[in-house]
Amino acid sequence: MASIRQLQGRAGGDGMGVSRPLAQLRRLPGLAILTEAQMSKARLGLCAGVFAPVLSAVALMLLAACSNGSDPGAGTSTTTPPASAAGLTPIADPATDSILQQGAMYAGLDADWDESAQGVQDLIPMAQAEGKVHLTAYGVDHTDALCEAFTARYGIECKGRGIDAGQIVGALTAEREAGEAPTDVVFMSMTQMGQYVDKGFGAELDWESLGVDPRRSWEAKEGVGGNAAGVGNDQYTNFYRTDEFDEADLPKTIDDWLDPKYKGLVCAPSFLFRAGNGFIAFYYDKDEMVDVHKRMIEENDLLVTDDCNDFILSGEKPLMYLGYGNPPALLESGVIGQFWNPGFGVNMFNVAVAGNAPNPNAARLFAAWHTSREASKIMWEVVGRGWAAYGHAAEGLTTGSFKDIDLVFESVPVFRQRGDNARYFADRVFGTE
Amino acid sequence: MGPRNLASRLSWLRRGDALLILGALALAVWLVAPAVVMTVVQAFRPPAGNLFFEGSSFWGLSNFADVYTGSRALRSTLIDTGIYTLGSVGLAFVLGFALAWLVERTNLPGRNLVFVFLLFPLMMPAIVTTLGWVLLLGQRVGLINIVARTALNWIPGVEITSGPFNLTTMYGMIALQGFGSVTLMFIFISAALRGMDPALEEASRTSGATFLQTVRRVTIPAIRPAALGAVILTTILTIESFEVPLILSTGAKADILSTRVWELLTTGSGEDPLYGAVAAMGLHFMLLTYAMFFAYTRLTARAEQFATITGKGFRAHRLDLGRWRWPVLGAVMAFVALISLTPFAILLYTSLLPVYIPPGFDVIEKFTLNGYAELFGNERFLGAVTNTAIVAVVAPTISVLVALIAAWMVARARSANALRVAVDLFTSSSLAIPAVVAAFAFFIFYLWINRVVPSWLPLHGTIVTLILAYAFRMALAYRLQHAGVTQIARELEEVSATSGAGRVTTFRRVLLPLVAPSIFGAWLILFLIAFREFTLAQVLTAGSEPFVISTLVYNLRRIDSDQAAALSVLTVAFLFLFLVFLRVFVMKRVRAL
Repeated sequence: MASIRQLQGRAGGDGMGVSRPLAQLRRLPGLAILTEAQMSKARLGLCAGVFAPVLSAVALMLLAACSNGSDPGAGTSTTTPPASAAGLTPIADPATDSILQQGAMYAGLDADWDESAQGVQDLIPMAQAEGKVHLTAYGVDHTDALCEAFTARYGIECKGRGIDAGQIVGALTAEREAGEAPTDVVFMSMTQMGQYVDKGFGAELDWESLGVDPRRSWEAKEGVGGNAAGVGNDQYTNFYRTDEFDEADLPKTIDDWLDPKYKGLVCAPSFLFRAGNGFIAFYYDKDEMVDVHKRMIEENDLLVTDDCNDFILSGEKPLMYLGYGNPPALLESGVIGQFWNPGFGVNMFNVAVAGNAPNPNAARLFAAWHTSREASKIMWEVVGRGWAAYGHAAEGLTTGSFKDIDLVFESVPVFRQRGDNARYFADRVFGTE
Repeated sequence: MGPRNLASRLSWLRRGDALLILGALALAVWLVAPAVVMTVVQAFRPPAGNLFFEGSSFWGLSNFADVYTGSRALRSTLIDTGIYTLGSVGLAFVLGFALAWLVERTNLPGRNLVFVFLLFPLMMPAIVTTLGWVLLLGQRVGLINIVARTALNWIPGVEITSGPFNLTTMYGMIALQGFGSVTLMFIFISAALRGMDPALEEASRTSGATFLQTVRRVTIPAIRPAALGAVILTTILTIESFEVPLILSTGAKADILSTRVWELLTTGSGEDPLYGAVAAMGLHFMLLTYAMFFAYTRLTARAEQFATITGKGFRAHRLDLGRWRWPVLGAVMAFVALISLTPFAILLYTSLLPVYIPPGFDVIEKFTLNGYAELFGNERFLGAVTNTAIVAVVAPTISVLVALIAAWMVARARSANALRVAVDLFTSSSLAIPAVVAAFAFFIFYLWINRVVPSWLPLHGTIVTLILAYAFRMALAYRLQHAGVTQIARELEEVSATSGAGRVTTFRRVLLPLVAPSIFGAWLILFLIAFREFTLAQVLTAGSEPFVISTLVYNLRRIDSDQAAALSVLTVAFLFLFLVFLRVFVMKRVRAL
């Protein structure tokens, strides 16, 4: 397994690293090239065919929507040179390195679930006696596939429900506070699972007795019972249109994105743009990252929006910065490829059994089975997210090196810090100060 | 105010009327109060990351301090939201008024078609509309931009390779939101124009006034209560609107209230959701809304001077557009195509492909109906359709009936002013609470209620909860019907009363037929909103059973985007046929009542 830092020099070494200039992409002038007189002519020209007041109003409004300073434009190549010329230096203190190594450790945990463990054999009849289990995760595509396989294997009825990532902790908290117990097993990202188990909502499981490598499990904060175990990974990813870029033309490091040749061509999903910097702050200085990202927006017209899929699929923005995962909706289109920059995060997804689970034995069996290679493979095939150490992940993530690029794997110290990092970043990049 | 005092103030009511009104008010309280009360309580229960009922929550004001300070203080949000709202409402009003006037006051051909097509934006899933706008107005690939560039490049010395229109600006946001609000504005204003005596306009013109003078001095004042109501409603809905700011506000560097709320509630990167800050922000929004309604009440205080449905009969005359008929129709249809038909065409295209591929000749061979076939095989499909139909019919019916009674009471009460104002503001409250805040309040409320009601009557997680929550949007029906009732002169009811009819009889046989267009319009809008309602359903069901169409689409779009598009196409197609049916067979009868 490659070290997290092993290849950092190579990853960020050659600055621009672009072999072929894209002449057509340098010529993207907007109305900035028009003189005021030409603008007036343009307005008049467009309005000439309008013969009704309604269309006049529409056309005037649309014309008012003409950009003036934010269009990708010609003549911008003389602006500030890319920061990569100066180069970003990864953080090099032992404490941070130790944190990164903890996360990288998960990439090597490839021991399959041991169904033959005595604890599991004892558990199966008790779980079957309960006869049912309820799973809560992010989407019904996930829960449907896993429930079907679990029911087929153990004859236990399984019902799933999918809650949006933004609501899952709030919904589970509200249910818990109201005394409702509609779920046995929960599946969440490490950060959200941390919020869940730290509230004391998770059960305390002896994962080893359930045939699970104990290094996968982690505890709630000190003084609170309950734990969870890792079952899947997914990574931040850049996407590009293969019909407009060669791999060699892509930004190799985060500061490469400041190159004017990408001006006006890049989109970033707003949630991931904020959340992704929770990880990046472990690799680069967070104030430098605030500065680089501000410049990406202000100088290179990075479009930050809720969902970039429409923009890249339509070709409006042929590059997506800090996207996520392996989405079939993009990758199966045949025109979208993936690439990564050093410092990007790798999330770990986890299962936990609810402390008030109505079917505790079936819940334990399901949670343990969820760590298996079989469950990981199903998840990988259905939602593009599996346990990387089993090989159920994007190329590179399975080896921990990710095409020789250093990534920040999520671990307990990472998830406990990255929320603060994300808010620090968002307050400064999107703040009014 | 003691019960005896209250009784004396309500002495204008008879016992049957009082029971009816008190019943309606009780239901209104049930529908609206949970969201209002829980928003207020949450705002005063810090810390901001806690739900108000958590043990570590306490009473205090620090949530407000969080809102007023920090790098993105409330001031910048209010300024940006104000510019965005005023711009888009102004645009929607101009376009909505023009279209309504053309449809209701002229002999424009194809009026029914224009009416039905204009309803498309209310039927379309917002997510697909966005892709449509990118493909139309994207700086690089947008069809309109390509056409505009080609035209502009004919001008000597001009060479544009991108733009000229840019969606990701404040102006772009205003244009998109304005276009999206045209439908509502059109519905409100056309209903008012239908109820207005055109003889007033004719008298103005025969007195020598120009067309614009007539519009400014006669038409707009005559429909002022309805127009003001429409502007206020659209203003509130725009402030609350989520889809356009979500896609464009960050790129436009605009700080819009709804996206601030969303950011504060989104927790995926490890921050705590700041429920307290959201509630404190919601309270400001509520006060702003109350101020608008107060202004509305003052401006329409002497509404009877605008009452245009009187004992005198009138027949609507249509202005002959003459040789302008067809050019005007062309202009109207071009606009309707822009905001309605093109997004639908893109939705249809998407439903025929496993994943979206940019249009091209080689794409045709990849067209498939697999998305539709898989959808029909999806075990959740039928349930979602059935649930949606039930909720979309029952919830608006409840809202409209309760709102009508409340509107009648407020518009007709001769005394108990404080009570009238209280009922007016309370009934309007639901508009003041952002849907995402209200949804979470209902989620908590019905979880709590579940512990109180008998086990054989579960509410939380059932379709009953969805119906009650959807009916929370009663304020929309209330404002519409209040405007409708206000437009009707008291003299009609007084004549009925002096003829010996009781209040209920007068209500049923005089008022109800006259406000039928308003009732029908309100029901129709709520029906359409309910059919595509997402936030309330997603939060209340936590994305699980019982599914409705919007939550099923949301679940499908991540993996089975073709099924999601197919379901959206079928939904729009159904609604389209339903509206044609209503327009052709029902609306004439409603008008004839």
